[in-house]
Amino acid sequence: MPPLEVWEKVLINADAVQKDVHGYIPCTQCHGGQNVDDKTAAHEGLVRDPSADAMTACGSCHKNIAPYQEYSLHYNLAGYDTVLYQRSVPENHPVIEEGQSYHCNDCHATCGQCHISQPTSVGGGLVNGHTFTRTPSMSRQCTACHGSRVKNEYTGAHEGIPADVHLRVARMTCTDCHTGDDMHGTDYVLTGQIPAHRYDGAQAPACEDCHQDDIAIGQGNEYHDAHGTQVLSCQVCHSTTYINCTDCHLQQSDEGVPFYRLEHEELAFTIGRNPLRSSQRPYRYVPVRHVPTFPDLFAFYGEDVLSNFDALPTWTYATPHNIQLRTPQTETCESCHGNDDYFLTPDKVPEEFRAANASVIVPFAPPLPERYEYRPGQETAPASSTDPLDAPPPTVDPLDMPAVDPLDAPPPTVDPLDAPAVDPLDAPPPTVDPLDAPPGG
Amino acid sequence: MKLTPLVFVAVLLLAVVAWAAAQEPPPAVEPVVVTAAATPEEEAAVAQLVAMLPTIQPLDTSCINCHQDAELLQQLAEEPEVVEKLSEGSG
Repeated sequence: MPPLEVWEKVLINADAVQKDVHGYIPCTQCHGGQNVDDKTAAHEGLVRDPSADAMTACGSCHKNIAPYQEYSLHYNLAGYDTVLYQRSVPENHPVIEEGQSYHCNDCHATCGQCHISQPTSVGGGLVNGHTFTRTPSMSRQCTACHGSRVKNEYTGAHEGIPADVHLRVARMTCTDCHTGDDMHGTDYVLTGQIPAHRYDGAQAPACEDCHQDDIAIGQGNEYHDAHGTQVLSCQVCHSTTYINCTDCHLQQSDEGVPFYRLEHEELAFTIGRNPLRSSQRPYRYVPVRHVPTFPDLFAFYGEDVLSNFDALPTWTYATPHNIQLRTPQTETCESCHGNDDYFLTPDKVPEEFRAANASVIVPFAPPLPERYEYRPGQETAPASSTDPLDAPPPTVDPLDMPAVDPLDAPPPTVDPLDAPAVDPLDAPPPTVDPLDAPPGG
Repeated sequence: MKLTPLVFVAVLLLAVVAWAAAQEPPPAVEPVVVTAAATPEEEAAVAQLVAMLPTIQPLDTSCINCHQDAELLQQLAEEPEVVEKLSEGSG
């Protein structure tokens, strides 16, 4: 939507406000200032966003939500701290915090920035005349911040890539999946855990929350039956091309205006090893997205601030918001099997970043098991002796290894279809590192 | 002895009336009308609930009057200093 004029941002709808229960509360009780006609005097001591302190502004009534604001990633931005601190050392944290104060902290979402106004990071402005809305506006609140990735993916803004099926077909909005408990930090009441990152804890939302019957093994979907539920995340097959960003530099102008420069953006779909593998995210393969981090991200604020940069990959666990039933990956088995184009193979990672990305790099695309043929009722994919992820992360640069075409690997000595159904995750690691296999098998 | 037929007829009539009454639909339930005053306990409970509600105070009319007047807001608006957009790339 077009940006609001300055005066529009503060125009209230008095009729609507007075019908709202919040209309019982005098303006000055939350916003400070004075109830006088003189503009300057009226705005003396004005608090623009009272809900920045949720307990004071909202806590007297919303006792089941306001106390947990500090656990909300939207409010505390803990996700940024988690990854930046891991890439750094404690002595450098104050420098990171200084940089964040200029470049990141505007993204704090308070109660009011989801329920009354647009977020400050996009210029603010009342959404509906200062009426309080239980469900945030997708376009003016959610995607006002989550625009460049989520909005563009979800709405099909990238040329040639359709909008997410949940929007195209079901007209679902953000809050249909992302619940208030996710946003408010009130999950803490159930889990007792304070999330440090958006992928911390159980998947929420999870595809199976709605699609349990569709993805259960043995329901007649041969692709699901063949891959099981723990090899691929749903998005490996059902999401498509998304934006990847590289090399972001944070700077300030001579006048002290903070800004950033993103050197490179690219639309791509890339499957990598799951760097967050856990019982809650057991998948071996997930889509990975390049995030705009860079060793010199904070160079304007200090030298070698991210001194432990290689502690985390630059390609990270991704959940693209462009879900489709049919994608290029689902066209044939060979779309993925044996097709390095879709995988984060070592050649796609610059040499200086291979150490950081060792946990996500896939040595080569998994080959299709020899003589594989789908058998209805088969519960998991036949154990493959050539799944590249059975190999430990490479200790040397994979590109320095002798070239091995995985398809040249010898056929399995046992017909995979005769093998007992084995969960690939339970299978013992192979005794031979695929990368050690002699050229040509 | 002459009364016996009359008694018999009377008993028969009563039986018929009773039978007919049993066949009729039950009379509509009268709405319950509470006439008794609230007990002191009930009044105390209501008072406690009322006390939990935010105090109703007069709205800040100066704030409301100005901020609902689009023309006045346009007159009083101060355009913010235009800052050149220096950032490059998706945010």
